[in-house]
Amino acid sequence: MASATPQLIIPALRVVKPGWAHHRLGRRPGSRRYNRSVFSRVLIANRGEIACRVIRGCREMGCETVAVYSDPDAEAMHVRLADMARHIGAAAPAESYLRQDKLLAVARETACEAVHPGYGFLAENAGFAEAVVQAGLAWIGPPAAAIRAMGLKIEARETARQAGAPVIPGYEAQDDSDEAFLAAAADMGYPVLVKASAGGGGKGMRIVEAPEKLPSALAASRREAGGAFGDAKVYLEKLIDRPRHIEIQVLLDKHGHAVHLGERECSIQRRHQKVIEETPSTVVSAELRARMGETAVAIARRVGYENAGTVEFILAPDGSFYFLEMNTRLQVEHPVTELVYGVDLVHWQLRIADCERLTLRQEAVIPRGHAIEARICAEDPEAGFLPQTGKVLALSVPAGPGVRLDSMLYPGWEVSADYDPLLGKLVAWGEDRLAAIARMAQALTELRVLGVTTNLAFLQNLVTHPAFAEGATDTGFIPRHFPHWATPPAPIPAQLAAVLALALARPTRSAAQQDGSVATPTPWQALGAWSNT
Amino acid sequence: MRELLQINGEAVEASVLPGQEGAALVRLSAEEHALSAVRCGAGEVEFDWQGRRYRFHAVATRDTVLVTDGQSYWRFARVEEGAAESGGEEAGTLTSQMPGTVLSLLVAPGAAVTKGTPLLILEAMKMEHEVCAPAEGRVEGFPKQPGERVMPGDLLVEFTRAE
Repeated sequence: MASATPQLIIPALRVVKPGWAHHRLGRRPGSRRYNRSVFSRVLIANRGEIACRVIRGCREMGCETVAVYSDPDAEAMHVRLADMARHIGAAAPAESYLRQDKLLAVARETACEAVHPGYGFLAENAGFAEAVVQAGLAWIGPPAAAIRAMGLKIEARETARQAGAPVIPGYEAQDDSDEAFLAAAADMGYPVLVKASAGGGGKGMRIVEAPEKLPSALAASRREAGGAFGDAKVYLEKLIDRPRHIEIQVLLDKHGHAVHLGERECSIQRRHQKVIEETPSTVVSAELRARMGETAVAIARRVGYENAGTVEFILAPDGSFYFLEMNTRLQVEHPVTELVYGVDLVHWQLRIADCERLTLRQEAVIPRGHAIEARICAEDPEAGFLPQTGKVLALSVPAGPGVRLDSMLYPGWEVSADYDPLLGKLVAWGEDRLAAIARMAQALTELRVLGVTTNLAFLQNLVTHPAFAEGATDTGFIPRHFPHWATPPAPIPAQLAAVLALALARPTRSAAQQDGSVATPTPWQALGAWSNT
Repeated sequence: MRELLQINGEAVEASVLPGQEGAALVRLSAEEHALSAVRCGAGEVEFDWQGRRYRFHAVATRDTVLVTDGQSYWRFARVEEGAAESGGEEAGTLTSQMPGTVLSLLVAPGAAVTKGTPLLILEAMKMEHEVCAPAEGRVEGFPKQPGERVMPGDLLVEFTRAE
């Protein structure tokens, strides 16, 4: 263990480095101090369920939190949870959550010591990471250079290749004429995938089955990528048949220590949007996990990565895996890893940003049981999953052992069309996969949202489908098993409930007509109370 | 209380006759159902019917009643008295299902198209959505031009089905 000694010296030097560290020079790096704050105050540069998640993590670590909000978010859950909140502009992200100047001004005015970007918005914006550090604040995320290196997918593939990771055959040349793409696609064989170089979240992505469809797919992808990321560059990738998306969670501190926290499988997707995520994967053995984990850590090290990150791989049916991309942020689906590995990733993000040493050892990182996450979205599965808006009129939340709800919902919250339809995540842990599925099904029954159409009923059908229990989950699962999903006809008891609810609402109908909703009637009413019409 | 509700695709006349001690007689079209131990409140409805206890979450809004048992979600439209006949959607129109912005028009007005032909791109919630022809037919025109905001229910494409 003599080789470990020199590493102990480096952190001590690093602590002195940036301006934000001066206030805490007296602290011993690496010491655990849950009863003392890592940072006195943290700016949460995000909204929605992830802002709520991060605020909770900060407060548990003794950090005060400052929320920011746009016009429609003045009453949002994250604003209600934070210690203080500042208005930063209009609904459009470009006028609020993407306004770096306003975010930094709020951080300055409220004397924050660090900034947590959540996911989305500015989480993977290297320029913002740099601006935060230049403003003398700690950035709770990877260094700007690492974000940059992984941000452009073409360069990221090259980095992965250099780190010894296999990559999917693709076309990423300088000649971006349609002819060049057509020739490359013919070489690798259809179907191919058109992807945005600066992309993420499925934006700008198109599957192309035949050459005649390629030019229009290229045009659409460039337009969508240009609009979403300001970079219209696209590349081509061979589409792997029945692929499984396996991603590896990594944690790296500022002292050269790194661990991987196993895989997450995100194979139930709908048009490249993740729907169900779980860990461990049914197809990843301990040996494969170790190999993929080591590859992920090698890729992260190659770009000088620090903090929490995720390396995504495509796993082919024959067991070969290919580097897909690295997400230089906390992932939406991080809770399943937290439940199975017994770690709090947000706590570790704060501690690593605060120069603490990673005390997790790889050999002690062992999965325990199984966790599943379902994404709850304001979308109508009966109408092609179109995003929905509306006010939450009734809400009932699940409880019990092994159930976790990360959500931004509360009764009265108005879901607007301004942001992503993700409302929250329901996570279930069980001793094994079937136990986790049963718990998820039960929790989904208990979780009820009325007033805005959600995918809850669809999720219920998904997790209780026999093919899901068998673990036959690849990215074609939804189109194969649910080509035409529809609500079953209402049985008589549901009809009776509707008539009773209508009778109850009747006396307040005139008031209700003004905003389209009805005030939720308070405590239980006897039938006689609403008998007169 | 007497009202018309759209239930499983049909306009059904519904009424409630409250009885003693939480009992109620609910009439759905011609059928009468005797309920007991009815309790309502905080978005929930409970009752006994045919020897079983049922518990739903249910709320009524201006134009719908929303009901769930935790497995399925039902939406019953409230039909205005005298307007029961206008339930069907006007044939051959394509309306926006969500708020968004028209990004581009993909065919010229007057074009004959086959089923599934992309007609228009709508941007909503940061994603592009293609609006496609529901059947073989002809595009008569586009009421909304690229760059214009649309709200749910706005007509996007004037469309005539082929005979």
